[in-house]
Amino acid sequence: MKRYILGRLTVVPILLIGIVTVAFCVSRLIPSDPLASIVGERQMNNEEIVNAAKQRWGLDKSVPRQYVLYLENLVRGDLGTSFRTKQSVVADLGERIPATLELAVAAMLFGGLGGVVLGAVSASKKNKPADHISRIFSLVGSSLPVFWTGLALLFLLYARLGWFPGPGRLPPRTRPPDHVTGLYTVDALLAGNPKLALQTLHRLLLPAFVLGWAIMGSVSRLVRASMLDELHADYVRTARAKGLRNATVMRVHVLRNAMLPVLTILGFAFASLLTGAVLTETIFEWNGVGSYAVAATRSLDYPAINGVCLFGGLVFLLANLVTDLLYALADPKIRLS
Amino acid sequence: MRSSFMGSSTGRASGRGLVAALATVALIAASCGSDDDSSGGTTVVGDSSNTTAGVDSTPASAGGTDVRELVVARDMDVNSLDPARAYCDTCQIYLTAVYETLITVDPSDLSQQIPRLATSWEANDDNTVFTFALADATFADGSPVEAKDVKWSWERLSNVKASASYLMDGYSSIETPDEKTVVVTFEAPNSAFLPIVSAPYMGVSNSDEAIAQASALADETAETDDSAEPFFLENSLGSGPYQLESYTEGDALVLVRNDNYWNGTPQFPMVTIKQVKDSASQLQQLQAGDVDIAMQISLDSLSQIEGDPNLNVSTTDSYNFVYIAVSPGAQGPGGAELQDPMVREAIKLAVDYTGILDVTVAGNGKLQASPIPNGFDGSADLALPAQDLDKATALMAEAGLTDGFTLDAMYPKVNVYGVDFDVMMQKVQQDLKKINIEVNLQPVEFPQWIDAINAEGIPLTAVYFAPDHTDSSQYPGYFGMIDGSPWSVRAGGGAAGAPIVNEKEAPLLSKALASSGAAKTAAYTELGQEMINDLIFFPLVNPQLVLASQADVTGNLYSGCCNLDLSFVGIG
Amino acid sequence: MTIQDPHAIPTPGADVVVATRTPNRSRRSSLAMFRNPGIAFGTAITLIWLVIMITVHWWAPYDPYESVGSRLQSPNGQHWFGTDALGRDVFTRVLYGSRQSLPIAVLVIASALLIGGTLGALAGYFGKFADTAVMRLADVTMAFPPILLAMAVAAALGPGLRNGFFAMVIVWWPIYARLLRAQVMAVKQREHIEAAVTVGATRGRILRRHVLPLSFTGVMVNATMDLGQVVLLTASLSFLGLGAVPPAPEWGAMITEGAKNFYQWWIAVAPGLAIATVVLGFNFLGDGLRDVLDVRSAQR
Repeated sequence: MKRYILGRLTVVPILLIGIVTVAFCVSRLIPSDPLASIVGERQMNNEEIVNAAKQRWGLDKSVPRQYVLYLENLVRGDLGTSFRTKQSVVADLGERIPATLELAVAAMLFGGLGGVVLGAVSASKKNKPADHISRIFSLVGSSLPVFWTGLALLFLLYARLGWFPGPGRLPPRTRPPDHVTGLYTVDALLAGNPKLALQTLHRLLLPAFVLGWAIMGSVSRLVRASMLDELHADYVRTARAKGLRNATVMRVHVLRNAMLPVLTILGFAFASLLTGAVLTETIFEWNGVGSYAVAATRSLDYPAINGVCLFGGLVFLLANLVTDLLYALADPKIRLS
Repeated sequence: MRSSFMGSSTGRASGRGLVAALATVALIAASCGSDDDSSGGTTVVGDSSNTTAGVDSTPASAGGTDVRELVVARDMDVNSLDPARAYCDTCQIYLTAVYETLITVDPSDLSQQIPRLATSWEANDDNTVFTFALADATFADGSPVEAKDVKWSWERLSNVKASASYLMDGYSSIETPDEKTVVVTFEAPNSAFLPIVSAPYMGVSNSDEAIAQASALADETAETDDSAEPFFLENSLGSGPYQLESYTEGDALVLVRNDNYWNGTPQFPMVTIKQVKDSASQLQQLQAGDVDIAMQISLDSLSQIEGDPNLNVSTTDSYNFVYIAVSPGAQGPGGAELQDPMVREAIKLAVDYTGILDVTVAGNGKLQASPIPNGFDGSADLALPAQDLDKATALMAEAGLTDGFTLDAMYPKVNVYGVDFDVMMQKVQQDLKKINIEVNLQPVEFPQWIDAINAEGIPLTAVYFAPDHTDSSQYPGYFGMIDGSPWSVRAGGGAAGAPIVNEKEAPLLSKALASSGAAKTAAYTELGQEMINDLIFFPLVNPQLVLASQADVTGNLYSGCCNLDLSFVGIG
Repeated sequence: MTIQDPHAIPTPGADVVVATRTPNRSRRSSLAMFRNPGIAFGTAITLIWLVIMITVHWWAPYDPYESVGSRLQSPNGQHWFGTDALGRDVFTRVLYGSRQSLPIAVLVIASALLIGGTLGALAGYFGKFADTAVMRLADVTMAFPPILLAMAVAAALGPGLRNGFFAMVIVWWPIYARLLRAQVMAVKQREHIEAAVTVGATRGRILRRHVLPLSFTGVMVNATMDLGQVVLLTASLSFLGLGAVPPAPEWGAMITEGAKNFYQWWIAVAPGLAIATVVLGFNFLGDGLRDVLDVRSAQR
């Protein structure tokens, strides 16, 4: 098992370097000069200013040299300075990660738990109406474009019916709670302000639903398949033969064993949520990593694009690693090897 | 004298009341020491005693108890908060609230230039020397505003060579004979300088603190060595009614009351400019009472809020405009054909101008003759463009292009002043198809657009412009085919081509800057006609602006110099 | 995605889980393909859209590029889904939208399958260095969130569906590389191939004649589901302004227009429903195919 874990761990830095390299190459593919977003339109004609800016932003060096510099800074935890916000990319990401994390956790709760429940219902009521309904519900969720669902829900539930608050993380005329975790719901509770916590939670519901619904399909599908596999396993037949009630068999044996493969997809679903919140954040004016990525792409902000890609890759690898380890702990074949 | 955009932002809506032009005319007439009135060689045109008209020059007062926080919804386009580097519509609002200028414009009566940091000002006969007397004002930290701060701030603005630095072009010296007097001298007559002084970019910062805390530089080395920009993202050093509390890109710009304000008590304990991208969101949040002012409500959705008793909604003329431009020197497809003026004229005549007004701003706007917008000096007597398909077709035939050609149209993918460029350019594409010109639309991000237009020009493009101040000089300086002007280079095909020069325009601009009254108007009118004759720019839309706020908000006015001047906003 | 596979990293977007599962699960589903309601429904939707795509120019009520009425009309007898900001018929544009999204989806998957599948099959069959190189590159590519990678590439190459196509092939090739590799490795161990090897067949022949046909089922299921995902990603890119260029009637771009004209809800509703039905069709089809094909492989 040690060997297995070590093996998994050694892959991570290699992949990270790969991600950094690919991100760097992609951003240098951009044919246009990013200087326009730094020095402004008028000064582009002023050679002195352009050269000074190039020097300050390290763009006067050859691309391989820039790459080495980028790696050197990366080792020190420096992702460079954003051309657009003029702040360090690390600080920019630090400000935005909690927003995306909060959204992703909420969407995960909804999509993940919802998916498990739907999948379990489907499996236990196979080919009955409940199965069909839950399968259709989750398939529809993964078929709808999230930006469209988000717009439609905002139009109906906010603009027309007024049941939900509008876009944004905070109610109007409110300051964010004191920064502890950066998750407004948690921070509001910590600050002893349950009302604000409820308000921020209310604002979280729509985007979390939109995002969560999109992943519910793949979770429930896997849960269903995996449970059906278990249902046909020998031990289940034995248990049933011994006269155990169906519900008990389901709960005690099938669900537990079926969760093993489900675990993996939950990990990845989380990673994909965290980084794939791009569209949801755009619609709901959520100032997280996703909307930062969109803004960075629009202004050809290399350091920020690289930073976001690196962050996405890191989350993905971590999720991968954690699920691998959990899997290893749970699966005797690996645990004992 | 540049198109006033920065960064890849969208949705800027700086507004200028129509009257500002009158203000300019009146002011310049006066400030130039009109010929019949030059008894002492200089004429005092502003004085603290004659500012009773219109809105009080002191900010709306809090009157004891705190009112609510003011929340303004806006799609922000902040490129910087450094007073010498900021250059955007949101920057105008921010700088006006935090850094004060010597003179400003009364938002309710734009014919009035009113004092701010200066108590009086005067210009000499030929508009080369300007003298300002300063009030007993203090910065937010309590230290006095002195002449050296004005000198330092203006020199820094000039020397960082940022987008707004051109405002100081042509000055030869700034003298400070005593702590309360500033004398600016120009090499050549500059009749535009007093309007320029009221531009928010000319605000004054606390030089001692800027040097001590931010190591800011104001001399020639500032261009390459000044690195104070990050400091100004977190701190402000002005004398205005509000101070910077925090700025989070993509979220909010938060201002707090300057408790030491020298000129009364600012109305709001806090002002938040909240980032709200879409017009629809702004409208909803205004209706829900979430925000007090929504700055960029689209003209198409106006009907949703008109008549709402809880809201104050009106439209006003603006000085903003959107235009298409053709570059005969551009490298891309169509560039070669554009070298024939007949082809350019055919394009001009093929465009359905009223149709475009309808499609882009639901008819809530005006046509515009030349790059000098309606209401500015020199815009009044020029013929408005009109569609004439028969003549356009004939011109194409005469040019030997009956079968048409392909024209590349790269444009920034933006939505400004209510005009969506995608919609506008699709309409242009439909129109030009009628004379067999196949337009190839390429919406790109803003930095890519700048790169392309500076490198090799763009055959057909679309851009927008909002004035930086109330003087017409900025238009020929930017759009004129004058050696060194941005569009002279672009029209000629950028760095890869050769600038296009119209020899008549540079002397006309000098003449306008040295003259006043009717002579000045005549010079700008002539310049406007020359720019029409260049057949480079086809202004399409001069849109109206929507002013929308909660019913109890007062003073939500578009200021001729400063977009929205927060010091005049109150709760009534 | 068995844990013994050192390269196994599933992607968030694509469902590679089932394809690499050893096909021996028993599943009692309907035997005839089209008695599976998912397949029947999915096939029906897909066919309808295919017919629309091929024939729309014969019967669409209007020209999708022409302004044919006053702008921003709400749905009415003449314009079933209303008109857009330029006065074009939304219904017509939605129908023509199939000519943007469907061909690109098929092209992306076909190219990804060709490029990724070939690389993966070779990697799986030959192993060693080829395997490591291909799979590491696939891992790195797949570690990027698909939309970020596509956004970055599309921004670099410039707007337009052609560049969007390249971006999406870059996103999708590793999925098929991994899929084919896993299938090839699984099939390689089967007896009849071992037999072929002992008989002395060449490697290329074995790969072509024995391995690839057996990999077909898993690929088909995944490709069907992925077609829907490509339609979604195409629309997403266009929605962000990185895909289709005006005046193309692309569904994602039309939703952007609708978002700008929020109160003219009809502009965005129809293209959204179009995307949803197409993707739903592919998803049902893929889901059903998986059920059915699994049974067949179990019976083999």
